[in-house]
Parts: sequence; C-alpha cells; structure tokens
Amino acid sequence: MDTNASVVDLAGVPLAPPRAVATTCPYCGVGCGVDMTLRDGRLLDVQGSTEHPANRGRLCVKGTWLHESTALRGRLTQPLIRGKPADWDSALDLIANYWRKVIDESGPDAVAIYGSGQLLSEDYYVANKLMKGFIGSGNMDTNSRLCMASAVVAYQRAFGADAVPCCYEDLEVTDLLILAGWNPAWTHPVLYQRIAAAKAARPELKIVVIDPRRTASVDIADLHLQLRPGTDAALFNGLLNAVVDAGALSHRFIDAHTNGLDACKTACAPWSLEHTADFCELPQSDLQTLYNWFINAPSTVTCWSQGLNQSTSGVNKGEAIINLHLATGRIGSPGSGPFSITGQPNAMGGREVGGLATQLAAHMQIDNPEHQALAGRFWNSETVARRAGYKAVDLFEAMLNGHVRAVWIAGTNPVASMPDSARVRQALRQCELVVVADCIADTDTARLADVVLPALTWGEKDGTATNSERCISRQRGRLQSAGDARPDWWMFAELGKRLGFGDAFAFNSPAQIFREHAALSGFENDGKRAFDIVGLANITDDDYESLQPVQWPVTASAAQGTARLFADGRFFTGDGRARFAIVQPEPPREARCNTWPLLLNTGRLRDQWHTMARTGSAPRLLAHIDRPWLYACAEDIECLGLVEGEVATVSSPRGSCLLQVRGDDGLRTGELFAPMHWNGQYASSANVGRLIAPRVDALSGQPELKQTAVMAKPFAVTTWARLVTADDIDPGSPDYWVRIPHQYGLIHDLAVSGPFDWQGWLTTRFGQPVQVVQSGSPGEDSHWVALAQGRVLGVLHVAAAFARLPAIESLMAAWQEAPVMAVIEAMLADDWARESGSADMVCACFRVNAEAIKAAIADGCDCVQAVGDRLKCGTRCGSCKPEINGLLRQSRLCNTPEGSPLAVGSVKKSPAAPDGAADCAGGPAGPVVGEAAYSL
Amino acid sequence: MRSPRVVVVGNGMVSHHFLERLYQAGGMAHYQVTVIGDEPHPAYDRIHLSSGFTNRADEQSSNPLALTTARTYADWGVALCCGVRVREIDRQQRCVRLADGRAIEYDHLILATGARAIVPQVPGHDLPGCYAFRTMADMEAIRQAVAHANHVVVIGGGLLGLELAGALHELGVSICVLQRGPSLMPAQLDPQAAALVKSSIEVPGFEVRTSAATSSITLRDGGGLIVHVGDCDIATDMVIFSTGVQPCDELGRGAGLKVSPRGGIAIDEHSRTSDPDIFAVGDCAAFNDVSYGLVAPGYAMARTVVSQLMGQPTAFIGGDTSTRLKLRGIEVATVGSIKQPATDCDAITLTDAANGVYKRVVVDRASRAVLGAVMVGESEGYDELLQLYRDGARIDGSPARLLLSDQYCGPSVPLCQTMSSDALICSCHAVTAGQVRNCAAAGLNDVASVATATSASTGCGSCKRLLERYLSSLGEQGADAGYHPRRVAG
Ligand SMILES: Cc1cc2nc3c(=O)[nH]c(=O)nc-3n(C[C@H](O)[C@H](O)[C@H](O)COP(=O)(O)OP(=O)(O)OC[C@H]3O[C@@H](n4cnc5c(N)ncnc54)[C@H](O)[C@@H]3O)c2cc1C
Ligand code: SF4
Repeated sequence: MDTNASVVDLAGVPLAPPRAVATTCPYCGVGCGVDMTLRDGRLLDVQGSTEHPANRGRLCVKGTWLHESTALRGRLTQPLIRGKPADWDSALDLIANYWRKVIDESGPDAVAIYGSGQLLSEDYYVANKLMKGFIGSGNMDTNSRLCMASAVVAYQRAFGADAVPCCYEDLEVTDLLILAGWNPAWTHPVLYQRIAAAKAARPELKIVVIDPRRTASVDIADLHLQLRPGTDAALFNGLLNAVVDAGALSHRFIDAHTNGLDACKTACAPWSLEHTADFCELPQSDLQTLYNWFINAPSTVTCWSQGLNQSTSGVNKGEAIINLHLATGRIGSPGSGPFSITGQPNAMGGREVGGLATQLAAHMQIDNPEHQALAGRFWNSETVARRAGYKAVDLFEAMLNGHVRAVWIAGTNPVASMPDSARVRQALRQCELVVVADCIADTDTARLADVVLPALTWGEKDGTATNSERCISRQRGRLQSAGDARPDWWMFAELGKRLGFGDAFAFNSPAQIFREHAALSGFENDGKRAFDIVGLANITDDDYESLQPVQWPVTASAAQGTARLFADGRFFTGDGRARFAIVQPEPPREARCNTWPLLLNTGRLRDQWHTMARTGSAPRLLAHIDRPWLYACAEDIECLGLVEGEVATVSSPRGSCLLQVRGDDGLRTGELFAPMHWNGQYASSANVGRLIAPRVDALSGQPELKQTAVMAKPFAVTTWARLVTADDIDPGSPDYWVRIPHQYGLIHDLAVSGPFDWQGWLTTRFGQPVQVVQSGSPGEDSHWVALAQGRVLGVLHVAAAFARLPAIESLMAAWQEAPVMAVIEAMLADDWARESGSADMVCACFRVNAEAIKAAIADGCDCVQAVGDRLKCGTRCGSCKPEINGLLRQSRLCNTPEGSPLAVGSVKKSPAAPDGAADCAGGPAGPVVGEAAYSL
Repeated sequence: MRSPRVVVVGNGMVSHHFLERLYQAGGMAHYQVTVIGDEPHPAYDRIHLSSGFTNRADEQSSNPLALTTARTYADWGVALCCGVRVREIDRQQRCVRLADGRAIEYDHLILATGARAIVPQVPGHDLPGCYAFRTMADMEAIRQAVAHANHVVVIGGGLLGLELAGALHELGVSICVLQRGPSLMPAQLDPQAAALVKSSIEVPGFEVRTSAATSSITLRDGGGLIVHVGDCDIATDMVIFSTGVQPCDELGRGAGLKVSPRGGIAIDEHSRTSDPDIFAVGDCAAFNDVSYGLVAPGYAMARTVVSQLMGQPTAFIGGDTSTRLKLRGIEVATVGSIKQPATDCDAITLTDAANGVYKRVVVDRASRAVLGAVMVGESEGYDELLQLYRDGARIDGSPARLLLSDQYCGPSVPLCQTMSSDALICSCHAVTAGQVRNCAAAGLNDVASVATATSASTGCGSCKRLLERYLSSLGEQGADAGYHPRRVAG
C-alpha cells in the first residue's frame, strides 16, 4: 500500500500522514508483534514487527489480514438490558444490585466470572482481584480451562509452579523436536515457520510429529507417529523405559535436582517396546526410531498442546513428558525442555494473574493460608477467597442446579466452545442474571444474556498480554472505539466500586493496574514464586507506553527478563527439587461401541480463530476453508454410505450436528475430524460442542474435547441451494446452512430434506417486497434472482446435489458484473462451472486455489518456490507453504509408478522410517517425509 | 352459366366472418351463397355473450351482440335460413337436407357448425335450475333465472366459467366456482399462475374451490338445488355448467367424412375435409387433431376457404391461441403455449408476490423463438412478446428481458419501430401494422375509427391495448417513423 504523505482524500484535502504503532496480534499464543499503519484513527495496513522476538517480521494469514477483521460491522456499541439499549450506569447498577442481593442471600459463591484468554492481563487482574480478593469467592474461571489447564497442573506438580521453562529459540537450536498433539502449521503458523526455517538451515534437526492425524505439520517431520488417539502417555512411558534400559538417564541431574524417580521408573517398566507399540497401535520400528533418536540426541524439546491437554488424563500426559526431560536433565538449557504451547494470546497472562478458579493470584495457591494472608495484606482485604471455585464445566453445572445465580462472561462464547453445549445453554437459561461483555453483538452466548456490555477490542484497547514463551508484550489501542464500548477492566472496576470496594478499584489506566499487578508478583516473594515481575512495578506511564517485549521473571537480578527457567536446577517446590510423577496411562474415558463406533477428533483450522466471532466476518480468512467439513478417510466414507460434499448427521448420546463430508486420507480408519470453530451465526448446526461429553480430567478440570464416540450417517438432502446476497439476511428454516462472507457479497449454502418452498423463502429474505425471476424447470437445477428498485438483492441457485451448485469463484465473478441486466442474465443461464468441492483458497493472501496450484505443478513447477514464482502463493505470510508442499507431494505420488494415489490413503500406520531424514525425502508412500522443498 | 353454389351450414361467428370476407373479396359475383343456421337469429358475438347480462338490448334498439342482420345478408346477396337445422349431408346428391324437409344443393359445402357445451352426466344435471352457457338462448334463460337467485354455482373453472362467474357476480349474486382439477384454467395456465389467479379473484361472495368434483345435484326442500361435492353439500339457487365444448361434428360423421379421434371434422391446411368439395371451419373443425375452440383460428380457416374459392389459395398453418383478458379486474394474458417439454426449452418465471404478479415465458432452446408466455396480474411487455411469438423471432440474450421492466433492461424501443409492416396487430381480422399505419397516415388515429375501417380489435378484443399503444407510438414518433428490429430480437 502506498502510504506516502502526499495522499489526499476524495475532496482533495490532504490526509494526515499515516502513523505506525507497534502492538501484538490478538489471535494465537505465538503473540506476534504487529505494526499497525494508521491514518486518522483508521487501520490501513498491518505488518509483522521486525523488532518483536516472537516473529521478527513474520505474520500468519490471520495476522496479515488483521485489518480486515476489525470492521465495525457486527460490533456491539451500547449496553443492552434484556435486548433494550441502556446507558452504562443503569446496566452496571442493575448488575451490582443484583450481585449484592445474591451475595447477601446465598453467599459469595453464588456469583461467578467466566473470563477468557482473549482478555488482557489488566482486565484479568481487576476481575480476579474483585472475585478472589473482595467478593471472596474462587469463582473466577476462564476458557483457558478448555485449553491448557492440564499443562498448568502438570507443571505445578512437577516444578511447584506453573512455569514454562522454554523459549521459542529452543525450537530452533534443539537437536530433536517432538511435536505432540500440536499442529503448529495451522494453530501457531509463525512458530511453524520458524521451525521450518531452522529445519531448512539445519537439516540434521530431527522433527517427530505425534498425532493420530496426518496434519499439515507432518510436512516438515522426519517421523510421524500416527498413534491411537489418547495413548500419548503410554508412548512417553515407553520412551522413558527405553531410556532407562539404554542407561541414558542423567544421574547427575536426577540426583541433584529431583525426587521420585524410582516410583516413576517402576510405573514405566511394563511399557516394553512391544507392549507400547501394541497399545499405541504403532509399528515397533517407528517407536524404535524415536527411541534411538531421543537417546542419542544431545538436546530435545517436547512441545505439546491441546491434543494432549484436552483429555480426561491430560495432566498425566504432560507429566509423562516432563518425566522424560527430568530423567535426561534436558531442561533449563538451550534447546531442551518440556514446552506447553498455549492456544490463546493471553492464556499465559491469565495464569499469571491467577485467573483460573484453582489459583489465587500471581502464582499464589488459593488453598494456602499463607498465600491468602499475603494477598489480604497486599490488597488490604479481609475477604480473600479461601478455596477453589468452580472450574468451567462445574461452573455451568452449578448454574443449572442453582448454586451459581449470577454470572459475568467476558470475551468468550461458552455456548459454542464448551462441551455438551445444550446443557450450557440450559444452564444460562437457568441462571438468574447472565451478563455478557463482548465486542460482537450477536454471539450464541449473548443471545442468552440478560445484560450485554460492549467491550473494546483489539486495536482499541490498551494493556499487556503474555505469549507461550512468557513474553509480555503491549497491545496498544489507537483505533476509534466502537460506539460506547469500554475496556473490560473498567467494567469490573465499576462493578467493584458499586459493590462497595471503591478504594481498591479506583483504577484510571491500564498502566496503574499493571504496576499493581507487578507489585503483587514481587510482594514478599523473595524467589519463592516463579512469576515475579517486580522489576516493572514502578514503571512510569511513559515507560509502560513504550514497554518492549520482555520475558518474565523481570527482577532486580534479571532486569532484561529471563529466556529460560531452571537453568540452575532449582524448582519452586518446598525442597527446590522437581518431582517425578507416576504415570498410569489411561485410554480416553469415552469408549466406542456398536452404537457409537467412530471417534470424533476436533481442532482448529489454519485461518479461523475460536468460535469465529471475529475471524468469521473476514472473507479472506474464510477463503481457505469456507465451511465446517466433517473429515473422514475414503474407506470410512464408503463404509458409512457417505458422499463427499453431501451432508452427514454426526451424533453422540448428547446431540447431533450436520456437517458436509470431505475426504482426508490423513485420518485413521474409524476416526473423524471436525473443526471447533463454527458457531450458530455461521452454520445451522455445526457446533461440535453439543456432541462432546462434559467429562474432565480429575485434576485439571479440562474437558476431553478431542475424543468423542459418535456415529455418522448420510443426511438425506433433497435440494441444495446457494444464495448470494448484497446485504445480511437471516437464513431462517432450512435444515442445513452455512454462512460464508465473501469479498463481494454474503454466501449461504443451504440444504433441505423434503419439500421446500424456495420461492417463498427467497421472497421473504429481504425485509421488503421483491420481484423474483427464475430460470429452470421442475426437476432441473434452477436459478433465481431477487430484484427491487432496480437492484439485484440476491441470487439463488437450487440443485439436487452439492456438486451441481455453481462454483463459488465463477458465481462471484458473475455477481460482480455490471450493469444489473448482465448480472441477471449471467445468473439465469445454466452454463455454470459446477462446485468441485476442492476450490479451497490454499493461499488466502493472493487468492490462489488448489486447482490453480495443481495446474502449475502439472505444468512443471516442481517445488514450493517455483509454484510461488508462478502464482505468488506462499510469498506473503507463508502460512500455506505446507499445503502447497502437500499438493506437490501428492502429484509426485501419483506420478511414481510404485506409488499410486491410493497408497497415501491406505497407510494408516507409519512404515519403518529410515534413519536420516534426508534419505527418505519424497519417499513413495507413507507419512515419513523430510524434504524441505522450500527455503524460508 | 349458373354460378357455383356455396352452402354454409351454421351461422355463428366463423360462418359470418367467412361471408363477410367472401363478400369483401367480391365472391358474391361468382357464387350463389346460402347460409343455414339453427339459431333463431343471425350471427352474433358469442365471445362477449356474458356482457349480455348487464348490457341488455331493450326492445327498441338492436341487439348489441349482433354481428349482422338479415338485411345486410340480403344486401350482400346471401340467402339466409334462420332457425332451421341441417339434418344430413347427401354427398351423392351433393345436397344438404334440412329438418324442415328441404334439400339444398351445393357445389361447395362449408361446415361451420361450431361446438356445443359439454354437460357432464352427473345425476341431476338436467334438473330445473341447471343451465349450460353457449348460446344467446342460454344467456337469456340464465339472465331471467338470475334475477331471482342469490347464489349460483358455476361448474368449471376454465376461462369461460370464470368470465361467466365474474359477470354474474357483478349482478350481485354470490358465486361458487367448482373446478374439478387442482388448478384453474388448465388449458392456458401453469399451476403457479393458476394459484395466483385463484388467490387474486377470491373475495367474500366469490368463492373458488379446486379439486372439487361434483358427484350429483339434487333438489333442495323448499326450493333450490344442492350440489354434492365430496362430503360437502353446497346449497344454491342455480347451477351453470361451463365444462368445455364438444365440436358439432355429427353432420360430418353422418356423411362419412374423416373425423379426428378427439372430435372435430378433420381438415387439411386448406380447411378441406376428406371430401374435396366440403370445407370445415371454426370450432367444428380439427386441424392436426386440434380443435381450437377459439375465434381467431376459426377466422383464419374461414379466410383460407375464401382464398380457395377466389382462386388465390393460402394455407392455414395453425391457430394463434394467445388470449388476453381481465378476470374480475385481474389481467390474464397468454401467448402460444407454455406447456412445452422442459428438455427442449428454457423457461423464465417472474414472480412479484407483493403485487400479485406472475409471468412466465418459454423459449425454444435451439431456435431461441418464443413458444409461449403467461402473464397474470400485469401484462407489461405482452404486446412485444406476442409480436416476437408471431414473428418466430430469435431472442438474443436472456428471455428474462422479455419479462422485466425498463428499470432493468434500459428504455424500450417505441412499438412502431419494433413492428414490421406485415406484423399482425389483430389476429382475428388479420389486420397488420402496415394497415394501421396507413389508417393513421389517412388521419384515422383512434381505436374506434381504425376498428371501423379495418375491423381490428372487433374479434376477441385481445388486441385492443396493442392497437391503442401502436397508434399512440405512431403519434409520438410520427406515422413515418421507421421500423427498427427490436433490441432483443435478432
Ligand atoms: C361465453 C363465451 C366466451 C368466449 N370467449 C372467447 C374469447 O375470449 N376468445 C376466443 O377466441 N373465443 C372465445 N369463445 C369461443 C368462440 O366463441 C368460438 O370459438 C367461436 O364462436 C367459434 O365460432 P364458430 O362459428 O366455429 O361456432 P359457433 O359460434 O358456435 O357457431 C356455430 C353455429 O352453428 C349452429 N349449428 C350447429 N349445428 C348446426 C346444424 N346442424 N344446422 C344449422 N346450424 C347449426 C350453432 O347453433 C351455432 O349457431 C367464447 C365462447 C363463449 C360461449
Ligand atoms: S501466528 Fe498468526 S495468529 Fe498467531 S500471533 Fe502470529 S500472526 Fe497472530
């Protein structure tokens, strides 16, 4: 974009020169630095900050197109009380009065706050201080419970503190990188790019992916262990057992810094190679390869994420990993450590503040009387909470049974993200006063709220967030706020004041809150608590404004922050020694049976964020994957009688979803995958939460979102329809629909089973009388145009099969035509290119789809670079490179005589991986790949 | 030398058109013409028969429906026998035998016996209070009965039944129309158009029931009738059947002429029957097994016969079934036929639910010619469509242009520039745009004077609006404005 100063607006008035402001990306836990280019309070463009240690100039698709998801459309701009506009005072008074009444009648545990890793640390701090410091209840929990609560508990049990030992650099300098239950290519793309670059520079870096799915991240792996879902702890026990057998224990480290190895060893002893291979459904040779690599590697980083955490034995899995690193002393040094990767931009900040119901504040334990007293002294409060509050799943249960009577939900959409969402919905209906603070007006949760409060969002609000490597960065607010939206910290402070805790909540700025938060972390700490940023407790407002990214702890002795923890082998347990855990691997709680014979796995897509409240409205981010597919391997699709592109009913004992089917030969037979993003505003019934049981890890309270026993059946669609409109519409009653915002208009794909009056439906979509012109005869594909006042308001195409719908690309090109008559004529013609079901925009930045890339490959482009030179794909943010490489590999497989395309799909278990990744590059069949066909 | 004898059986609308055209062509000088009709009066305007309910002849003035008088025929030299039936044709003797015993010899026999109303043979169809509606006598009988009725059941929801029902409703009686099939006017409309017509015309006091088969009619205690439809009984004062017509082909059958399996005396493109000396015209004839039951094709047949007799033979190539009328204030217009096999044609439909408008046009996929159209609620663009249909013109671009207003298509070209000189304006009387242009050039620039001069619009009346618009476009553009092919026509 040309941002030279001599720009004039349409009237010829010179515009103020654009300004660059450094801030942090609000999406994933990588926490990339972003430079915003602003003019007159408008965001013109964003660029990756070259200064920021997390990304050094890189951004993924979501970050690159941040300015496209900051549109005011759909924003909540004023408080609403039961749907009616209200002013802030009335809304806050109503809430405060009700809370007072509930607390008086039922005690402090009858109110609760449910926050989110999207909140900034300052917001979190004020909310937590209010609930745990003054109201005196532990009932402040957050959606981080769904994402890394298990890792928190594993760290706490092993290290005596929720302390992530590693930093991102470790991923690049290590000898062996294990990615367990983590698909960074899609969930943390910039970290993935850093790893890919390191791999390209240092091919001897070995990368092992442990995942029941062959994900995009397998693209850079030397070895993929496609294990039976939920058996990771067994795999790590087996590995530790092999380490013991090989005599590779680091006795020096164990003796000096740990306790409990013997019991741990005993627990691992039964996990022989054979038993482990059997249990995990892996070839022994693959396991042996991992064992050899691990035993021989000087350094190892094991990263894990939701694949392990979202489990009824998630803590166990984290502990199994930590055991390995303690046993080999691979912790606290460059290139080594057990590294939990957080999903959300500020899940870490929430943990630091103490935002989980099981924490008090600033790494103080909620059930520790000493800590209670300490917090009471610091806050000058008599009413500090004394016991843990309800963890997320229990919290909603408590609303159902009336124990929690009032809840404040901030920055999260639990109706879409929690397991057994039908029950969550019911809980919110049951709860007497539901307050939802959000930046988006229409969310599944806001629909059930009594009071809705407009929150500031990214670009508007100020504060700090901590990423996965403990790096605290500033988010800076420079954009005009939407209507009467306010920061969350202000709302909580106002509630505090109204509840009579005035002095403690006289906050005027995030800087002031941050100083208090920093002071609390250092208060009577003396090295006893890992989280300590006392070095920042006295920063001025100006210092806060210009605060540079810094990794905690930040203390007098580490004024510039700390890259790695535990370099000195001293832990935060009473005796300073880390504790080995006894890990008894447990299979997923939910077992398959005849009625529910399939296992549904859930997760993120590359370009979407959470429940899509923000990313769903950015057409560019929907171009990659525009709808919630149900992924299944070819064999299952056939066995289940499903058809690609058509709709399947996926059901569990708790509910059902309607999802379109798509082949994915990276899945094991009998296992399905569906994205977790689609909320009720973007699809009729794609919220996988309604299928999932609210079963949790007994220690962490984290639900088992990754494994649900389900059944999938064809849903008998009689007609499909694709609607394009200029303006927003309510899709109304069709059985199935997905909403796809597109650059040029809004698309809805719809399907019905049984007779449906499409004409009547179309006629009533626009809130005004329309003329409807239709071509096609009964029993054929038909095409419809809705007109009013000389304008085309919408076009509808109806067909008997999904594959008969006009392809989106050609449809939207025709939609763009002028004059009106040209659009009408184009729409009514029946010469459409039909839906191929595979026109994904692999590259969202330059809008290059899979078809085009395949054509370029067929035309001789034989590496990612060559494809990029031809089509530009992959040359901006680079998020799509693994997929381009995947297409390259696919075409190579097709062209190799011994490897038919079928071979890709038929490999459910990894074949033996040859030693040395370079040798197996482009191997004919199997997930073992090592070729870095591109340089970064 | 004796002039050849032309005998016309039947003196209905087509018969009259034949006589008028033969007279105009100077045929009376060559032929000795006799016409025999069994109705008591000479030809009248059957199409507008229902206007007779409201627009009645008083004793003094002449019948407003009359197309002619005995006097006119006498002036033309036509021998008229009214109120007498032809009993049979004797092809050996080349004569027709009348009911009164007379035999009239012919050289050329023209059968114009029309059609009669079909009365379904449900029990009670012949009870007092049950009527059919085809002739002036029927109309008179109904008119007298309606004067004492509050409620009338019209059986048959075709075009005629609805028109009749509408006319009676205006007299202040409550109406119930019973249509046996699922939708109204099945001959002209598709189900969607029919549904819209139904919902548009229904008001309290004007009820329409579809899929309502009458099982019987009985007398009601205390007077009146009961119409039994399914499980439901409808009490009424009178019942009128309007359930279609049957060609009066019995003379032809009796004489061993070829008859179409579906009724009607079979004719070729010269309106000749299987006996080269016998012609059949109008509703009694069947061309390609179709008997049209409409006046325009009958007139075209009549003109064909005139051309044969006058030695300049032209051919009848099929009838134009386009119609345009108002049913209880709702415009209903059709062009050609929209019932086409879906595989061979493209159909475009326009619906404007808020304004009660439905339009559909069907275009041949290969030739891009208009095959048919229907318009309900509003008929903007009808004339242009009709024109394209009659011309068999090729449509460029989407047929949607034919249905959408200028708002979407851009300004339309004035009619006088889109209609070629030989384009038909009045298909009943075969009046062309060129003839109307000549009238206008001669100073006749209102509908009435052009009608007097050319008969245009005096047949079924569908073309009245077109004639009006054509004249006014001539007025705007000047009568010498050139003809330019229509924007969408190739
Ligand atoms: C109420 C009504 C409305 C109509 N509206 C329309 C319209 O809007 N548009 C349209 O195109 N058409 C319309 N029609 C149809 C149109 O009237 C006929 O198509 C037209 O009258 C046919 O003319 P015809 O001369 O063939 O038959 P007819 O007009 O029926 O004349 C035949 C005559 O022959 C007589 N006859 C029969 N047999 C004998 C015999 N053996 N000896 C002597 N005489 C005999 C009959 O009594 C009758 O008088 C309508 C018809 C009716 C009844
Ligand atoms: S990787 Fe992408 S989503 Fe994550 S912080 Fe960086 S730019 Fe944002």
